[in-house]
Amino acid sequence: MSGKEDEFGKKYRFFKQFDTVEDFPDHHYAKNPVGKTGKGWTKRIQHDWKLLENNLPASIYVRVSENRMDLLRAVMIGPQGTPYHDGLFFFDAQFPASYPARPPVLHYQSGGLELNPNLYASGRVCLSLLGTWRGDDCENWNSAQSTMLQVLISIQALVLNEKPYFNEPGFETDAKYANGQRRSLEYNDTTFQNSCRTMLYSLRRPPQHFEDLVAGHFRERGRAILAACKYYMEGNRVGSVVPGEDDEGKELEIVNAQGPSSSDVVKPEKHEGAGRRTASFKAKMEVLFEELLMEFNVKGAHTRKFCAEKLKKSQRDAA
Amino acid sequence: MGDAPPPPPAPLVEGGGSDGAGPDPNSHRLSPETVSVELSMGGDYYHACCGDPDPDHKPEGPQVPYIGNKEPLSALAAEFQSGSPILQEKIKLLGEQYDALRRTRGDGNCFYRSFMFSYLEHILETQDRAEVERILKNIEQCKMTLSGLGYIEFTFEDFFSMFIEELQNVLQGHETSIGPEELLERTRDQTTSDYVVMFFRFVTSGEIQRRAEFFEPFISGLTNSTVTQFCKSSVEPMGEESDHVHIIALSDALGVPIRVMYLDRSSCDTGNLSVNHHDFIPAANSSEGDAAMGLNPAEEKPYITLLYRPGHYDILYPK
Repeated sequence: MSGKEDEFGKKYRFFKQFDTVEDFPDHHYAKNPVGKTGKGWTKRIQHDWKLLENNLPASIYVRVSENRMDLLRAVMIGPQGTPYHDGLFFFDAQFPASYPARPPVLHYQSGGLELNPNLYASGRVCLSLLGTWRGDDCENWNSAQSTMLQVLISIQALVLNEKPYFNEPGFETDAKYANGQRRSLEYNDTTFQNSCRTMLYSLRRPPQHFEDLVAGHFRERGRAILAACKYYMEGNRVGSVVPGEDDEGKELEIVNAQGPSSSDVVKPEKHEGAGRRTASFKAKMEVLFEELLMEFNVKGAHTRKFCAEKLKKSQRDAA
Repeated sequence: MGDAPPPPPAPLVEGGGSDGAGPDPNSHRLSPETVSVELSMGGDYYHACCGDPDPDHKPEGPQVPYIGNKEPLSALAAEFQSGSPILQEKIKLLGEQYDALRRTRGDGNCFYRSFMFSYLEHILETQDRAEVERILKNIEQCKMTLSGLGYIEFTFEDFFSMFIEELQNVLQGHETSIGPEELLERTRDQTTSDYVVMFFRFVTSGEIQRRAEFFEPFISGLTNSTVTQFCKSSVEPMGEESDHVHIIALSDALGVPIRVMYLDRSSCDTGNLSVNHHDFIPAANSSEGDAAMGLNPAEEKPYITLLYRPGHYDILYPK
């Protein structure tokens, strides 16, 4: 067991942020040949590669293919303090033949789940930079300035945010109303559950060339994810800092929490977060928790605490 | 994997306790103003962002190619058979001078594509090597303009090379020479066509910025942006439609006169209906080339004629 753990750990630690691979048979656009490309195309993509190689933020990993320069796969780790925290989100991209006159095409590996108003269950990525969304002018694709790096960073910064509900056009004005805030919290609940489901999908069928990252990431973050699940089930807000688990100590994350605050954390009996969270949230979370626990165990995450609890509970139930 | 995606956040019906204060933030989405805002953003807005369930399968129905086949002008008359009598009358008047048209796809690049085809076809038919020499000098000038404005050559040189290549292809007598069918084929090919469109866009952008003082009043009348912002957002990106400003700039920068016939519903009270037109004659000082050729540009009759219908440009052929 420990030998296996070391192997996982090593591969994870040495997992390069940017690398070239031979081939992408399971890529969303693998069967969609780019067609005839111009001379400038290759040069421009190599330029994009360079930018990615030298500037990727720590939470984004990219693989490109020498044989299919039009293809690229990226994964981003969901930012802390958001319903996406610790999740892995995979994107398959293709540079069209007339790149960079046209922006790259992106497909989000959704597993059929809507993760965000800008990330459809169909895999569509709505972003003005990609021309799939009518945005402010300066956010549109401009071949003189826009790059793949910028696309990926924009998704992480603009899409995977703290309150994705307000990404929906028209909904941003709801933010000043209590109703809007409540819907936003509900959206976050659903989103976190979908993020957990996405984790399960990635664990069970990791996208090619990212197997080691998936294994290593969940081995390292598994315990924190489970602790967060528990914490949210106790009625706390999705995305808030879990006491004792927050490695960055960002207490500040708990701002304008109108519902449950960090003071009533301890978990006396299970109160439904200020009475408004639906019972189904907890029921669904319990199922997801069990499934995640199992998968994380397989990957060797430190889940002893939760396993022990589970054991105790089943003994209690049996008694 | 069998998990069904959860429904989107359902608007809560009951106005629970303290939340009842504000107006229902959802109600405004049904108001007529909001609807008209969406419509005014262009037909693509709704389709691209809201209505298209699967982005990867764009409706590939019978779409107009980038550049259509030559059609008799009667095709246009047929289109307006049941339309406004003013338009029908104007089409009749057009028929006195023009006998054919070539449609272009209405994707926001129609002006540039019409210009591209029309110009290259003109060179192919006349084999006017002096004109090619002249425009090459202007192109060189445009390159310097962009470099002077701080554009990195790398970001535009491929677009420039593509146009120069096409220009050389239409000149007969060498290995890569092409005929009329091949020209049509190449201008319909996405990579070639988009790259040439980008060439024109950069030339236009460079010219507007080089003569920012001249263009500034036009631009501030159109939008609220500075000249540079305007170029970045409304000239350089693919799909951004062209206006008078763009046509003036392109015509000046390349030293190519353009006639635009306006097919709109305007009429004058005297009862004498006429089709308005405007000749864009390159400003004499816009390039040294003109002076060197000893031509008085004002006397040059445009050999490129475009048909303008609100929001769209096609190519017209004189009798």
